Amino acid sequence: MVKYRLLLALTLLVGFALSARAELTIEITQGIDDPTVIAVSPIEAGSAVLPEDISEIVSADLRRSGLFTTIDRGNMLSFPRESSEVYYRDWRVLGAQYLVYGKGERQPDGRLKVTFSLVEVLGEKIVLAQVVHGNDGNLRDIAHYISDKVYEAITGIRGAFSTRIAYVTATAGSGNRLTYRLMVADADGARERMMLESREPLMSPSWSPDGKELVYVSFETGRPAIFRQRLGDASREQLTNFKGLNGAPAWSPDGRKLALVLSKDGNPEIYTLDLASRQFTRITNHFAIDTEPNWTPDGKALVFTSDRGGAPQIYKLTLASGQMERLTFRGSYNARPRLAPDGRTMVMVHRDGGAFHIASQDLISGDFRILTSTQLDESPTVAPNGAMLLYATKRGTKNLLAAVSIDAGVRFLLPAREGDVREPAWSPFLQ
Amino acid sequence: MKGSATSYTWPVTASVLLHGALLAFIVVGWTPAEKPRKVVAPKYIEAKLLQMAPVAAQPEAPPAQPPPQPKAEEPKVDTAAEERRKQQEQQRQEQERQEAVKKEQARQEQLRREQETKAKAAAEQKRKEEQARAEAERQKKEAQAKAEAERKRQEELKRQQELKRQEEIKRQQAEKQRQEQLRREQELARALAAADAELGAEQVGSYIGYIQDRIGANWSRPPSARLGMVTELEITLDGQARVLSVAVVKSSGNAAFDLSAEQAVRRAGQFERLRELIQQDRAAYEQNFRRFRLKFNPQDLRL
Repeated sequence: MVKYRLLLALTLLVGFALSARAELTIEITQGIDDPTVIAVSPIEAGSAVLPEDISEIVSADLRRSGLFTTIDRGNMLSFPRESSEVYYRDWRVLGAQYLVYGKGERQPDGRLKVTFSLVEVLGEKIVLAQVVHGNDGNLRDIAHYISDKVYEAITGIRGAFSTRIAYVTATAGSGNRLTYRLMVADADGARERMMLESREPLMSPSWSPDGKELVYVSFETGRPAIFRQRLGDASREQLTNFKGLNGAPAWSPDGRKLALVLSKDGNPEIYTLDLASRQFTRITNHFAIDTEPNWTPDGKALVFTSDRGGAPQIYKLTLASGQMERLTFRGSYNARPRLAPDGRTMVMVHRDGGAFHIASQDLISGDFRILTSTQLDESPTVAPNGAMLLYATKRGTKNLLAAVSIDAGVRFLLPAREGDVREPAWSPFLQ
Repeated sequence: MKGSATSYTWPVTASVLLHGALLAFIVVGWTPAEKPRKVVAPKYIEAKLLQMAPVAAQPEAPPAQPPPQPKAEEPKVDTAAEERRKQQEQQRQEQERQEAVKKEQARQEQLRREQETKAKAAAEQKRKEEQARAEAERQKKEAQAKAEAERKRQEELKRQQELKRQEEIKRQQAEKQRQEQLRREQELARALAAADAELGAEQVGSYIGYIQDRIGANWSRPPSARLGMVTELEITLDGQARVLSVAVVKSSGNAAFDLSAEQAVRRAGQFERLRELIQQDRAAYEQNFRRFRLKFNPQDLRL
């Protein structure tokens, strides 16, 4: 089958006239990377109105990724539910590159069977067709699932719309005292759920690798202590009760250990805690401050902030060998490292002049970019698909969450909530 | 020609001989009576006195004395004998003088006669010479006329021949020109064809650039696109340069990347400018663009 063909790039044009029989090959080396235009036709179950507007949730998910622009329902000429109802010409006229359509079917047991398809409009080609089962209670999950599949088919990246975020809110309560709440919500901010409420500060939530538990720091005992808590039944357990600082817990990728910071021996040092044996192991030993540990995706090393060089910079410690390596050299302040799932992209808080921004550094190429244009940015957390990151920032006197794509192409603020929102933590992929 | 050459021979020979004889006669038989007098021009010598001083030191040369005059011996004794002898002497001297005169007269007479004879001979000689010259002249004129006629004949012949030759040359030149013209025309035709072909290739090149631009402007890569991903598509266009079909012939391994490439082609939809080519050079269009491959090989990505 392999026929001889002359691959003719532009550089080989010279031989063009002679290669009469060879098939012309034109090389495309540049593109524009505009957002993809997609239309999501309403997905309904017969004439019954569903409690959630699935297609609107999908549209919002895709829009928020920054990689898509969606077509308003009001501009659609028809609402196809299946392939026979798709008039491609109409969608071409609207400029849609892709169309999502589908329908819900009520099953005898009351459950909902949702069939959906993704078609490429210009090629009139079905890219994706799936069936998903659910019920009226998890229509948002169905919607996020559709978003994930559509996103992955078009971008080649696993969708993270079905994931969750944890964060801490602080609202003024009675007597002007702040009330702290540990919250968990869908990645789009919906279905917010309170995990814990406290009159004392709550800090540094971190997800277990299975997405079923959180660890965090609570001052409820009068001094900082690390707790773990299950999401399902809200059961919790105190893990540390040392004098001084107990902070910055980070769950290891295999779920067996925590990395944390304790100052029980005088100054903040990084320890690991074996969750099964409750054994603490001191990892760093330096008179400077070592803090904010984060695991590499393979679990073999920790990255952390240390001012052992005179100013906060990020170091990497390989656990097996104890080998220490400084990773950041740009500017006089780089802190709170978080590694993307590829283990290559590291995000951090970077001070640029007087402003604190979120920056990313490619650990292989060294490519360094400041991702945010807001100021006083802190607590970056990377989505499990590595495409976006969340961080806390300030607008006026208010703390709120913002998102930015990891290549800085898209930036947006999450819908403002009541009170201050801090310390976001993006969950891993959930089952 | 040869006959005329021989006909020259005897007059020329005669002429040469006559002239030779004449010359010999002049040289041997006749010498001029008087030698030409040589006039000596007086020579003036200009002298300048250059120095005065050393003259005082030197003794003055004595003035040149006139040479002593020889004194004729004069008889000192006046006697009768002496008188007689003197008279006799005078008579003898008179006689001698008369004789010398007579002699001189005879010599003069002789000389006059000799001169007369010589003049006569010279006149005769001159007449003869004149005759010979006239004869020679005549012969020469005759020969010249003959030669002239011959020359004219020859010239005419030559002219005729030249004319012929010129005509031949002209004919040849015309032929050559015709050939040259033909060759030039053929060359021109060839050059035109080559230029056409080149133009075709150039045009095809410009259309390739156009297609690259069109598709590049429509290619929106997914965020999962990475440097080194290559997708190859086979495109089929219809007779109006509209995209008929797009097929992935070589996948990048990333379905979204492949899809983005397909999308780029479909979004381009129709290559309007190719319709110019279709009108101008349908064959070039059919050959190059009816079916071709697109290689998507991003070079402008960060990762």
